[in-house]
Amino acid sequence: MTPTVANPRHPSERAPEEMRPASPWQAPPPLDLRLQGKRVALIEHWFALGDDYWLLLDGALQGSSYGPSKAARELAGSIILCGTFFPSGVVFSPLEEINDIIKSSRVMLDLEQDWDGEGASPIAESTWERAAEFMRKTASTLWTVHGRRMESPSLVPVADGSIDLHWKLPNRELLISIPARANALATYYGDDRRGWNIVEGKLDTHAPNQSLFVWLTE
Amino acid sequence: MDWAVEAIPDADHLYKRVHRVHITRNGIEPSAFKNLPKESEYMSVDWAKYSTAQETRAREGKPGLNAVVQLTTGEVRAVPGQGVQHLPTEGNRSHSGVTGKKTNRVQMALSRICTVVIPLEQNFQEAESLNL
Repeated sequence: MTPTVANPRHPSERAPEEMRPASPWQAPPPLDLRLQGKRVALIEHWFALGDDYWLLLDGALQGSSYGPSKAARELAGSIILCGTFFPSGVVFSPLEEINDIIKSSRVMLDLEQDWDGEGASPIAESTWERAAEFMRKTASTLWTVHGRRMESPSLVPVADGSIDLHWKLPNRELLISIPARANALATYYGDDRRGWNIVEGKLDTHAPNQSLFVWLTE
Repeated sequence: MDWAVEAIPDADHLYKRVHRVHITRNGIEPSAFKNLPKESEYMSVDWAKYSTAQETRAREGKPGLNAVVQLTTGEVRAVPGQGVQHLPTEGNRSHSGVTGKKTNRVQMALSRICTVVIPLEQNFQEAESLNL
């Protein structure tokens, strides 16, 4: 999902020269980003700006495939890192991010029989709902009980009708397979991306499974 | 024609199609590496001795929706529980199989050793032109 910018005009179309500050000491146009209805108001700290301003805009507008909430958080993170803006009013709830990605993943239910041209099965709504509920519940408990944010995974349809949840973080990678059969256990494997610190096994998606996600967020 | 079954050297390359849903911002998803068709005990690949990556892409499915990745036979065999066998069919002399159960650990290992040789981006353009 691509965020839109109200003012100045969309930098992905390349900001026109007349909109660029003539010097780092000239105030740039006010930044007013709207990320799918979530307004990210930014207070300019313009004297520290130069071309970074435009780089920041470009980066923000590329957005995040994980949905608007994560895009907003990434933008705010970039701004804090850059030190040129002070963000305000950004919603940081991890549950919003998870709901965004669950919502956008629903398109996988449109996949028809043989969607890959090699005999793949469609994804059943019941399988998708199990995956969605597992993510919601896990993210909620992790946040409320442990104060930890669950990063958004990739939700990937698999040719056998199952759904894979895949987290690829800087020092952790975790793959959970939600089976198509309702009564079957999910399988998981994770490590530190160098083959160490391994977690592996089966899990009940209705159970809390908090230790696994505490491991993921360590 | 019945093709002779040959031994595939460790240094040889294998090609595999990867559907676009299995390419995310994470790169090639481990989900791409399954034993398919569902009933089979191996994951179909093409031996580069008898196939180009382009031929692999065009061979099955909807070519415009696929990327092609390359695996090195010896690296695949080094993944615990995995083997590589030449399994030629009448219409495809290069057809081969990566045998062994594709556990989550194996899938992740295969995703880490594969290299994209035909990326999806160019396919997207072709797919658009074909209204796929």
